Amino acid sequence: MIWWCKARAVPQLVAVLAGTVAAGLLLGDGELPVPALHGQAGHFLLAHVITLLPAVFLLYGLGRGDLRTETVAGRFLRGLDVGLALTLAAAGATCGSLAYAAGQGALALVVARNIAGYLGLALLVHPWIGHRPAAAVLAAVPLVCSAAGWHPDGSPRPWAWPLHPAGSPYALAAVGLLLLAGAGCALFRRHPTTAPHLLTG
Amino acid sequence: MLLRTVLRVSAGTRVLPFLLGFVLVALGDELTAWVTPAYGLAAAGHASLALPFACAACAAAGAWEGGRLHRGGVFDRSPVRSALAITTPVLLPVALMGGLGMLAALTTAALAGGTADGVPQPGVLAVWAGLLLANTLVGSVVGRVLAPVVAVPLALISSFVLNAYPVAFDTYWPRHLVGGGLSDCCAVDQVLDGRAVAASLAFSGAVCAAAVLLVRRRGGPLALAAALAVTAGGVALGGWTARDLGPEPVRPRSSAALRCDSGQPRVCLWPELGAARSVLVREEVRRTAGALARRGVPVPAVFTMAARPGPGEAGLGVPTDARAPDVTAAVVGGLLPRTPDCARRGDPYPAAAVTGTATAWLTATAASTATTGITGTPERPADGRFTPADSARAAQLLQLPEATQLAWYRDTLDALADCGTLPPPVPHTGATIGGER
Repeated sequence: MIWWCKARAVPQLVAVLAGTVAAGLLLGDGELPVPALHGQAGHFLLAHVITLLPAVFLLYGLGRGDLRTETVAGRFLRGLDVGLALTLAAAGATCGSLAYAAGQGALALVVARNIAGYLGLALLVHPWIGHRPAAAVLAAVPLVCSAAGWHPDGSPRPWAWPLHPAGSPYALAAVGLLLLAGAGCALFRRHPTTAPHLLTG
Repeated sequence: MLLRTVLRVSAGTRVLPFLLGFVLVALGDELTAWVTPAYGLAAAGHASLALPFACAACAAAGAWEGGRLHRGGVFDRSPVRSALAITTPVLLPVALMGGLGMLAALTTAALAGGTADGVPQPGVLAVWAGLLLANTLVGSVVGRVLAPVVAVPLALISSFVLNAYPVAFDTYWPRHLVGGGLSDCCAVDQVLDGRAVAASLAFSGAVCAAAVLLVRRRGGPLALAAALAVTAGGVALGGWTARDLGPEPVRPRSSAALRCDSGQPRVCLWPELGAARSVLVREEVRRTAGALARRGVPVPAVFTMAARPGPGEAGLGVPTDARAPDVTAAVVGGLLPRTPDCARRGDPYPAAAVTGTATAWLTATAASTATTGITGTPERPADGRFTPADSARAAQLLQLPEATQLAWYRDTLDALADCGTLPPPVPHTGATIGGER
């Protein structure tokens, strides 16, 4: 377990999560000016982008070990990794809810939900394409949402779950679905890294 | 490396379908709206909307390639070729990918504006090339330094932010460094200002030079300091070049390009209208001006599409795809004075309330038949230049004797020219136009 913790850089990951939640609460309502696109009206907040960080660091940790050796590990590493991701999502949700209860406003809930959503997406995508392209895909999600995710009247489109406001049931359902599907893919795609092009990473 | 190997393994090849799909699907609606028809420069400028996204894709792919070089340990093994000679063939496909993405955006905008056979605009293309190269090189440097799993998202997001953020600043010169104001270019009476192009090229050239320094010298402290100095110099040079520019990188087009004829009144049009439409516009202008002159309205001798009509000339604001009603509206608009500077500053402008009535009255007068000289209530045009209340007041005016109408019109023109004169009341009703609000 100690080796696994060192390989996944768990202390740094917890620090990044804490830092993300803090930065999201402090700076999160700063607006990033995207090019003013016709037929789009909506705010692209810093909080929509910062919440990528824990998921990217999780992927960084997933790729740090010797991937080839890990496929024959005695311990159930996939389960440990999925457990780490779900624990992070739960910790983020707890921090966000506590901050909301302490009066920080609905942005805390948005930050917590987006952290969980990106973690689920990372779990979903990385068994298929490897951890580095998965990080690139994650980073493309906020850009695609900023370019095409708003209706002309300023409400977010249903599929652009990072942009949804705090109480939106669509976004909560999407995040829950992503976490479930991600956990399923990461647990049940056996030996995901035995594809040769992924093992050379 | 063999060319086919480079193209096969490059990150640019993998990202190209996504970039093209993004430009055509997500940005397609935006690229086809608001393009000035028949004006090639406007299509090129408008396509610059896709530039932050293409630059972000180039930076991310460049970071991937830089990370690949680092993971391969290429520079630790005493290579024969210089670092730059190794990096260039790897990064060129990435820059090419960005270029293809911008070409797709340009084609989309040009097809929407009907200028698909236009000459490529060298200034805009130079700005694009410089920025794509700069983003690719900086991305590759980031990829050499950080682990790829962190470098690629970092390059993607920070490149997008750095290319899109300066447009939001209150000072204007940062946006010209990253080609930010280009999407506002151009109306048919504007041309791209060379200073904006020069500023952007200075900035992207300096960033490319700094990145090349870092690549060649493998990132020693001296190289880092030199790179920072070169970047700062580029920013300063670009900022100094663009210091006088406004929010848009345009200047008025030289009136030497206007095509004027010798009728009465003279009509000067831009060549983008095309031969057939120019004939239509000239006929409509003469018909409208003739109808107004017969009713006694003073009509200037020259109607011009230039941005700043001279003394004795009237502006003619027709769109490049003008039809007959647009021309009548443009002639009427040209007869009324421009909004004075005091009103643009925000001072109280009492004559603003009477603009709609004057427009309605002029439109009805221009549509009057030569024989009867009487018109009905003017119809409300689609662009809402005047409200139904304005139409009603104009109909009231039209019942009065012609001399009274002309006197009212003269007084209204005087009131519209500055902020101090009150507009005249509509005669025989005793109500001041402004007092009805």
